[in-house]
Amino acid sequence: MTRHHRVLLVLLAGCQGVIGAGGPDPDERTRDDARADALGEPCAAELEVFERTVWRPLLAVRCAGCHQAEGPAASTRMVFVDEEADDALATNYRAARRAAVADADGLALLLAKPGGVHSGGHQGGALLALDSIPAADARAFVASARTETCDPPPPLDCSAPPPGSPRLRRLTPAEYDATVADLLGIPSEAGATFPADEVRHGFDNAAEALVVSSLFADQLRLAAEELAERAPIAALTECGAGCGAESFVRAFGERAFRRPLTEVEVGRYVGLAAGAPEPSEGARLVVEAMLQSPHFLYRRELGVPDGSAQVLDGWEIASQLSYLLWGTMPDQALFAAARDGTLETLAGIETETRRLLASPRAVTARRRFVTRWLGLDRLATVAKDEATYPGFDPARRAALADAALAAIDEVLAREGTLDALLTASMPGSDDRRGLLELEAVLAVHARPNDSSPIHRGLFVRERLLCQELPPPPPGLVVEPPPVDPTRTARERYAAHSSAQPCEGCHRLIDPIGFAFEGFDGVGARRSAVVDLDGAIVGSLDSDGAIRGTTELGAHLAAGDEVADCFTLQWFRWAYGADVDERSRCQLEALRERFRGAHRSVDDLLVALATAPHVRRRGGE
Amino acid sequence: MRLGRRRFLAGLGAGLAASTVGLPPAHGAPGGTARRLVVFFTPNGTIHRQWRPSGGETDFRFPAGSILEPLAAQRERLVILDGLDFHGVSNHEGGMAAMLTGGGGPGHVGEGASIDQFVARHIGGASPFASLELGVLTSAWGGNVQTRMSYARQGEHLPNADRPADVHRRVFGAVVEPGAADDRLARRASILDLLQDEVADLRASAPRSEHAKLDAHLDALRRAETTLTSPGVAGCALDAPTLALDPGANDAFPAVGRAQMDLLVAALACGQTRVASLQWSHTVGPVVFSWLGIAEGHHSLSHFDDANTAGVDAFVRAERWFAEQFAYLLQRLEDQPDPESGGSLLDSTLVLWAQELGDGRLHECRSVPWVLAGGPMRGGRYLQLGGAPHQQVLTSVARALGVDTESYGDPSYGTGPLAELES
Repeated sequence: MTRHHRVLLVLLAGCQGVIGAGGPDPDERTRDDARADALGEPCAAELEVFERTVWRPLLAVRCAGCHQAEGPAASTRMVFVDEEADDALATNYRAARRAAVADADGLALLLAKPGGVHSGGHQGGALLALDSIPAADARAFVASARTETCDPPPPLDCSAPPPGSPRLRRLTPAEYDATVADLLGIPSEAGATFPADEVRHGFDNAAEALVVSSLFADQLRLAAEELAERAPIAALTECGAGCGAESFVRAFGERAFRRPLTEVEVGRYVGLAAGAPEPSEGARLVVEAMLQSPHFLYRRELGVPDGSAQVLDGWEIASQLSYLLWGTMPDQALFAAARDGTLETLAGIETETRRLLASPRAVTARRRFVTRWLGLDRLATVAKDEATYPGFDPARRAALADAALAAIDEVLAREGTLDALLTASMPGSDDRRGLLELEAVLAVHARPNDSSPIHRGLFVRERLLCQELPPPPPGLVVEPPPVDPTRTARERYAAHSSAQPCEGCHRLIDPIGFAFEGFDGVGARRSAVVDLDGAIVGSLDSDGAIRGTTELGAHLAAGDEVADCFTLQWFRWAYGADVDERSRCQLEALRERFRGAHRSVDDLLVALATAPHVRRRGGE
Repeated sequence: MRLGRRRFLAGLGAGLAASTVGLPPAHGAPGGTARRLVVFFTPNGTIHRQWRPSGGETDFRFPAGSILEPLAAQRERLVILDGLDFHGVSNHEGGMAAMLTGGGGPGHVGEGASIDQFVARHIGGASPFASLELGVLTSAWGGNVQTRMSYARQGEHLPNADRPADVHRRVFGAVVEPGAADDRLARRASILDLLQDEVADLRASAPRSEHAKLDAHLDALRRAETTLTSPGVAGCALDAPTLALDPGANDAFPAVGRAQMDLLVAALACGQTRVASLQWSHTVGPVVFSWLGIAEGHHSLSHFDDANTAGVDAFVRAERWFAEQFAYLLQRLEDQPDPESGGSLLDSTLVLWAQELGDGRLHECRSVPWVLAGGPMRGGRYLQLGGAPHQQVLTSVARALGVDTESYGDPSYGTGPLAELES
């Protein structure tokens, strides 16, 4: 036992009284801890894997802010030391091992507490999705840490990667509007009347969260009634005004459902049409119903059984390509490719992917990803104080968003790479470099009456580095510093970034944000001399000192961490789900390809559209 | 037969009377049973010193400048709940999730549903809408644990309707004229039948992982059937609200809130629903009270330390503004006759002003400031509860609405109603 460890035990013994309701009894805890500590020293291989898979991605970012000697969780069994301390990694391994050895209802505390499933609760809240990759890595650590032998978790085996999960994906409001416009040939703004869906990692298209509530069903019905009323019935099918009910149902239905109808379905809709007083009204009734049909509303990615897997058919693949690349239903050529079997081959999928990517519609669809990724969806409504920033009205906000998206479009058209997005001179600006200096980005991530190192630091952490930080723990007075033009942000935010208990987390956030201080709360350049020194700490491979956003952009572009995060963000957006254990190998393959492809965004899209996920899913 | 029943009721012009069908027998709370429930939510906690009335249970008063002072005129209708704790939870998200659910899950009363949904299940069945969830700028961050307070069951939060014009169209836009409505109704009914068949078939061929999603879809379609075949709203025509600003814009906050309160009261008065909620912003909500000349977002204001007197003053002004809105809602309910009992709507409506945090500076769910108003509660009281579990208030609310239950939510923190509300 190290000297440090003994001190820790004394500390813990002295703090037993503050363990809240639901905590273990002191004797049990002492026994647990003794059992953990008796497992001896971890071997070098265990330490290496621990650092790479558990410490850096999870514990250092989401736990160590509180679980340290001066933090709110100082009295728990898991107390970490600063990474700079002697023997820090081994000490932190042992601290984590205590939480790995103790369990509650069969689940290690290391998972149960942050997973939000421990009966005694977790003061810091639920911080870890138990089906996530960090949880999977923590689980592997638990298994390894519980033995005395040197048996680090094995590296990820991707020799036979399992297929991802089959899914039904309800159209998002934006997809609904775009689809209706293509299907009926009339514009739709109905999406705005649908209730807001859950946003995960910034994206509003997580399949699991896209559900049909009572409110949604009512709004969908009202939209369908209104659109059916306006629909140019005769223009919807080749047979025009003279279309019989059955021909109309088959022809329109194939486009509405994005696949041919079954005979049962044809019968149902012909029967519905027959209830109308006259034929043209029958067609309108069919349109009204199909616009509410689950086969229109859900993008089907279920496939048919093939051994233990599910194979997706050409129609399902066509919809995946068109919604990924165009954000809407397939066009005639893509439907034809589904019908004639072209999409059943990888070469056929790639050909169609490149055709779709070459269209201006691909730029429109990509804007939706960029908007969500950078948080620009909030620019229209983010609060700004009129006295501080006069004239920041809806027109100005819309213009800024458009300018940002246009600049990104142009950079991607010209250079096409993630590196260029982070470093290139942005067209139409006063010599701003990279997306970090776009006014729209800066304005969204700021306070109503000031810049905000916190918002901007969190933006970089979460959207560019894919590290999600916990909220401030309860029991602390957390007050944003008042606006004071005579002091720099570093001086004003000193309590956060350099004093405990805030420092535990804010050292990861604020120093990144300081680099943005050359821009005010609406993204305008500040004229006064400001302190732009910043730093990234606690990342996987992006640590370092930086001055200003131009340097920050170049620094982030230099490593692989932002590229890997960018791939993950696209993965989430493209497949409507976070990566899980089933899809992990596919993410790793995409990352490898993106790095090797000089980080070409189009190449990443081709990789996503031709990945095994598009063609095969797992069975039950 | 669906249409026949509707035609019959509409012909009688008896929409409101008919909506008492299916109401459970009154029992539970002394002083009678409320027939409607309204939940009113405002975010980010309080500053207790500025919120607390002075004095004792019945001789209390609202100090000049304090947060609740705008409610002075309605003092006799209020029960001020001071010292209510959400045990076992803390922080913004935890508070928001536990606030109306009592932290419940499978095996607990409510199964993790929020109290409004639980009550709606008991008394909302015969109304066109079992419940209405209205919001004021609640959706800029999408729907999540921070931005939603109503739960159908554990983990399944319900969306808010944030746009008054859409609420109007949904709730009051149905064709009112008896007879003229029949074509539209017949259309809707035949489509709903078809959609239910389709969803059921899809469910049969979908993997188990998708069943919950399709079950919820089927529930929504069945509910729509009830909505469309329930008594009409003859005599309840209401002009569509007009707003100068986009309902998502910060400065639209007061106008959207006012329009939603008017719609909510009208929906209750017309028998369109018996359970409604109005959620102002959401926990961590960043609304800037620009109309009061305040420049900081509400969440930032809620963190100002006592030493920052200007900041605290701004927060108190914002909180007083919320109290004024609550007073407006109570006044509207008071002014509206109850078509069933002859009294005012407030007499038969229990109103709960719920919050999710105690002291906003500390992110804690201790001493969370709640206020009850109207209904059968004996008002004019200031209760100092010293850490009573909020599950007891939720239990009292259920009982006041005629649902006989001994607990609500997670019973390990407390069972039974709040004794003070039983007397």
